[in-house]
Amino acid sequence: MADDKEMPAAVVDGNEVTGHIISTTIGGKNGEPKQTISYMAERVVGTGSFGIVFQAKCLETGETVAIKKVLQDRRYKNRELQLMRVMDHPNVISLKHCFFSTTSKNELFLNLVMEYVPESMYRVLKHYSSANQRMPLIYVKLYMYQIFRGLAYIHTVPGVCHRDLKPQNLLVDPLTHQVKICDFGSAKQLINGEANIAYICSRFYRAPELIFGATEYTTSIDIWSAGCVLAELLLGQPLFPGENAVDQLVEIIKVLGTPTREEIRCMNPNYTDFRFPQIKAHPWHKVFHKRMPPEAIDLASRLLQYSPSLRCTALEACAHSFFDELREPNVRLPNNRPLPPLFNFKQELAGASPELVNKLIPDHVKRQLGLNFLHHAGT
Amino acid sequence: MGLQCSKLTMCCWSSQFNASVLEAPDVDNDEKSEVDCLPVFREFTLEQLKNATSGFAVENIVSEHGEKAPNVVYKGKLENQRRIAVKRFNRMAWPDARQFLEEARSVGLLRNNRLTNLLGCCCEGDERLLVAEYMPNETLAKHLFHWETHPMKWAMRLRVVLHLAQALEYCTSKGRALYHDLNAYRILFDEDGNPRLSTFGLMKNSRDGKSYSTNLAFTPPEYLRTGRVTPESVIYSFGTLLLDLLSGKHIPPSHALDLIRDRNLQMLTDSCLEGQFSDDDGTELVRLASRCLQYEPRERPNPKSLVAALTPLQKETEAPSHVLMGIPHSASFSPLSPLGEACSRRDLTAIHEVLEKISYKDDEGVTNELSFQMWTDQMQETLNSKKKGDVAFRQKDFREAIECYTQFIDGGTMVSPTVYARRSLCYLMNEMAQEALNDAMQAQVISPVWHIASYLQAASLAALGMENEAQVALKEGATLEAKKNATAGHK
Repeated sequence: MADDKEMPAAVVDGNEVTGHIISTTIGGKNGEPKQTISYMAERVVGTGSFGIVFQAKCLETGETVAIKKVLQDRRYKNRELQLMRVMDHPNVISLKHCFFSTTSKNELFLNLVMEYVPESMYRVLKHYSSANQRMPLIYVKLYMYQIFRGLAYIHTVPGVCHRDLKPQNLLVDPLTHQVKICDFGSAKQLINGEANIAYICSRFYRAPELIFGATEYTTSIDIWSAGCVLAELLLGQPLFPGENAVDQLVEIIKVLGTPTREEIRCMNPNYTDFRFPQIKAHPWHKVFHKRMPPEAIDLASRLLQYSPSLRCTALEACAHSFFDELREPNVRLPNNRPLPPLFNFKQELAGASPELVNKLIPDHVKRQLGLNFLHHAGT
Repeated sequence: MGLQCSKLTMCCWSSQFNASVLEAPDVDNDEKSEVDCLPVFREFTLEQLKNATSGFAVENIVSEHGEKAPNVVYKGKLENQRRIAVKRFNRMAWPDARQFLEEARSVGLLRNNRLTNLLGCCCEGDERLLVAEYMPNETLAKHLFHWETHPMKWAMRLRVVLHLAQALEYCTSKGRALYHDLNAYRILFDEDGNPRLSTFGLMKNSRDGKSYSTNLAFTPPEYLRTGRVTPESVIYSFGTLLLDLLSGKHIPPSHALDLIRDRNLQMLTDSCLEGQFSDDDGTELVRLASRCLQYEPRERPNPKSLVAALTPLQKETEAPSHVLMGIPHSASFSPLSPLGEACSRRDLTAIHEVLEKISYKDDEGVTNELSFQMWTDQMQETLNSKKKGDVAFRQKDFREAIECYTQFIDGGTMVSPTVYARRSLCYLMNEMAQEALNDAMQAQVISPVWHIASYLQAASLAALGMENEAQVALKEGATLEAKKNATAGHK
């Protein structure tokens, strides 16, 4: 995919479900030759209120892709498509191509053709819990680091909040252990001072201010969700398994204690008159087992803060000492393969302080990159 | 420095009740450790503490964990009217009775008005209990984090940390520098609104080994490494309390230090404190917090230097704590109900009228197994004596009423707080104040939150010339009555 922005959205006629083959044409602008691409749908990998995701194979190249097919309202632009077109990061799922299709009922569908990643964090977690094992710490570090790197990119470069971060939306390549954030169906560019809907994000991963109905939240809601994912990777089960919206808050209070007056004000100033059950924080040594490294607990408690503005940013999380092991020279995966790329930062470092940048790029990488990089990062 | 002594010291009386309690010997001449007429540490029997807490009634639980906590704290009242807090440990906490006694006795030697002093303990069978002074005005956590009407003022926050530093200085000087799990729940407010450090935290729970109940991100780094608490760890926790007071929220100390390093004090500061202190004062407190939170234990200040650093920062030192806290002081009274009014005036005729009118309504809910016994002759006899007593009570034949009610009580088949209350009033009418007090207390043992029991205690205590104690009981009665009316209103 050379240039996302120029990518035309061709319309395919006919019902692509019959025969499971979809053909579309790309190119044909700026003197480029037209090209036909055909996809064979192989299996459904996900369904939801949005539509359906299936795995497909490109007949011309043999490449496996994931196609997300959503009903398209003819009156609006598709926000997910708009966002995906501008994103380009190793830890964010990439859009290869897109096209419209119609059915006999004259319904218009948008097909987002994306790179295919075979596993999700949800399935990886299930794998460990069914084997009655904990995820090895090196993978927790590797996965969480990449999640934060992806978040740092989407939060700062296109300025997008994902709004539905959860293990199901984190894809994992089982061979390279590269992680990619997917499903931008709820994502939005948040603008300071503008209200947004509070009813977003899946229950276990919802930031407390959303439960309080806050509409002026920030990208720190994704940081909360990431904190929940971190705890889940460490524990092997969700940290806050609420049975409904109110119970979700009770689960949070059981671990963090009743939010203080000041914390409630920080989450939603309209809720300061609300009465909360007075529960003292559950001792964390009962939440996390004894052998848990202190760095993991420190990171978790910086992410799972009631006050949204006190949660660290995604980039600060990347620089946390919990991930120091990944920055050591000659680290390899347990299968002796090299780590996936972790330090090829681009625009996401633009607003970071020199100290932060210095921490994020390990010395051995700095030496490889040479002075040219240092000069660039320092400016 | 805010060193007022309680105007309502409820412990200075010469009475026949506390013959077993000795006066505290004047162990220390240091001004700060002067604690007026606090009795020396003693051992209590389980029976005494059962009576004091109405049989460890759920209504008397004051610990914030509630019933589910492994160690529950109850409020109670000793026979001599002293209000106490009773900590009841779980079975497993102190397997070695001797170790428990030694530890309690040692902590019991401490006497200081910056502490909720340990008055005694009890060690019977599996039971391990501690008895300390009762603090009626809740915890720092409540006032700082979960306040109801107004946030805590800056001047009061500074006073809290100074008093706490003084408490630690005193404990350190007495060789008890190890405080376990110092946090905002361990600081309580006395009736004058002055903060005090709970002595329960000085007792190391031997088997448990978990010195910190909070999030491990808030515990001293050396505790994470070695699992041990040192005097320097206590200073680290003092640092986290400084952060609590400054921020009004729970910020992990490592994160707070990052914010301090980046000079991001605004993010750290409680929005309620806006405009209440100068940048210099804020900077000074933050500087002190960072020193306490040093990673290297030996680089942290000692309690003495904490006191020295905090003393010049004090504000509004003339204002009594209860004024700063906005706590109604025991000296000032809210308007009383007709019954409370009658008790405070010792208008026995008016009390009689009210009791007549209430009849046995308040006995509802006191469990009495009647179904089977109802048919026995003994039961019938008991009920007859009650009936006769009621007639005599109505006709103001108090001698006769005493006799009949005594028969009913001695029969023992039924318990009725109302009968005790009525007999108590009869005794008062006959100028038998001591007996009247005993009955009023018995009524409270059966019905722990019954305001009438407190009111009658107030009237009896006043009759005995114990004015201060009478005032406390009257206030308690008024509080209980207000609570009762509030819950009745919700139904």
